[in-house]
Amino acid sequence: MSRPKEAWTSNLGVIFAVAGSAVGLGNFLRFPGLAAQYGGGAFMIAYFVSLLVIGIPVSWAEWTVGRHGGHHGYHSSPGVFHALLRRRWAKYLGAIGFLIPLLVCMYYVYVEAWCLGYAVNALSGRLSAPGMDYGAFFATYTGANVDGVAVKFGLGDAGLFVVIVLLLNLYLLYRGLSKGIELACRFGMPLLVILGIVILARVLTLGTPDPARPDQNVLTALGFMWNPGAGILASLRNPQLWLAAAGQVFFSLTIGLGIIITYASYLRKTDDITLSGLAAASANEFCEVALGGMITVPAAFIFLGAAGVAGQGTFALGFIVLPEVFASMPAGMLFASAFFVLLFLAAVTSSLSILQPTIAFLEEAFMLRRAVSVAWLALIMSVGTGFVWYFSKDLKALDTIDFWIGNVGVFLQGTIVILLFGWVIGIGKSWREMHRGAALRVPGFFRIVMRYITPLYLITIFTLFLLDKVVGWNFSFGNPVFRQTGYIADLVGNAPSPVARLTVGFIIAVCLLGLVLVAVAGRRWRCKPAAPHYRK
Amino acid sequence: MNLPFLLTIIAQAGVAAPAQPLTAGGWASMILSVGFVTLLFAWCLRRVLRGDADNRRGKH
Repeated sequence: MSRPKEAWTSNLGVIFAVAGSAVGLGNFLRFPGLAAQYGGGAFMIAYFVSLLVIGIPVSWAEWTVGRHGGHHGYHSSPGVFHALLRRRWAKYLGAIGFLIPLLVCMYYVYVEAWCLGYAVNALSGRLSAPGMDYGAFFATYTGANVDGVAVKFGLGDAGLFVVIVLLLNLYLLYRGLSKGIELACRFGMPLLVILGIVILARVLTLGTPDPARPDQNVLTALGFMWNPGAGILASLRNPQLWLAAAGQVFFSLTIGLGIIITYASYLRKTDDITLSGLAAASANEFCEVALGGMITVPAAFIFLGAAGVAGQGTFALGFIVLPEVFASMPAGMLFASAFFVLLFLAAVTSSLSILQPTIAFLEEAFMLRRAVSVAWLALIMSVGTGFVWYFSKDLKALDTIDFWIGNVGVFLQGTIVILLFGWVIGIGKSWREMHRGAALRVPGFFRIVMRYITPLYLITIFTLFLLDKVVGWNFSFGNPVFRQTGYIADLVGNAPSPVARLTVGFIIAVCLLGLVLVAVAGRRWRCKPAAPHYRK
Repeated sequence: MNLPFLLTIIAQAGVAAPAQPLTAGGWASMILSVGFVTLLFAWCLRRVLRGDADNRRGKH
């Protein structure tokens, strides 16, 4: 098992795949909203600090751990942890890196279907019909007003696109790593960047579309997005800003999901990972800052003004505000469909990466052929996505999984991986392993960063996150207030949400089932090779 | 249309900044941010492509 059965065809291929995994809806919808909300200048300082201290180091750690595990014949996070740590409990620790993407993909595929559906509806002219109520359309389309209402299969419903997206993902996964994922990303990523640049050019040349509102022009829109606000130093003292910036970097780079571990495990022992890791991260940053930061919020501001943009969540900005914006601009139908195709490409390259760890686990745990593992995945996805799709009122099931798994889980996994890199394996051995075949020598100060600063920073941010989102602290020592947050109130509040409770039960059931599968897999792995003496 | 659920997806209690054109600070923030990520991406891409070309030559 020393040679992987599958491999990337080139460095560029794996970089496209990892970048494709990282570039998602958050780049074009979440980042611009946060940057505008906290004032461009201060937010970007915190953002780049977080990128240097968390994003790139954790990414390198995942690449290193993944490639090393792959050298021992493992491609899933439980297998990689088992191989490197050589302890009975190690595979259960690694199970987080298999269960998180499995649960995340259940709702991500549903959101991906919205993007494709919106692209088709935009092209058909439905989204630019006069008198269109975009909020009502979104609520009906996604089922956000009533449970089960989205389970329909017309062109104006989500159902047809859920099926198409599921089949497309499964087909590409069936084709394998190089002929499926790599090929899709090789075409998808450049097309995404070209579409982004075309839409960016359109937005920057809008001028002042409504002469009656001269203050809504390109320069003011960019000012709304990038002006630093009242005081940079005062803004930087706000812990919420650091939390938002670090969270955005973390989620945007898809670190902590176990994806990079799986992708890197298909590399050869001497394939470069330092330059590849940095290149994938930089591709994501380009799409996020240079494209996402210049398109979404400025476009919305030009047509709707500050009041139309402020306070909008990710989905509201993307699926309610922007369709209205595109409908207001010349040839908006084309640009709307191009934008939603862009979102769809970003989503499909991400969903492939989220699904691959499950395929890798099923195949190496139970020696399944590709067709069988894909069939099992289809069954799991039908149940999981079906659950999110049916319990769609207020998008409660989606939101609950996103919070407890997509946020809390990835922080945990990221912390575990960086501690594994810097402390369990040891920084010296990890550093040497990272530089095996390296095309880029990482500056020495990153040794200190990856051993001390990244874990500390990550644990601090995770603690702040829990204090903010779970405990509900107002970050005041003088007058501390702890209010029950929505996610807690949904479970144990005076009026709990049955769907939120059911969703948490579903998450627990999936995790328990996953742990049983990992235990069964562990029996097979006893006879397989493991890394020698990696525990001090 | 009841939309509070959308605001809970990702909490973004946005505060509308006063609408004013790009200030000097805004220009600096935008150019430095966009410029940095664009140059980094271009530099990495160039290094990777050069490396791939070298590898292909090495194989021949």
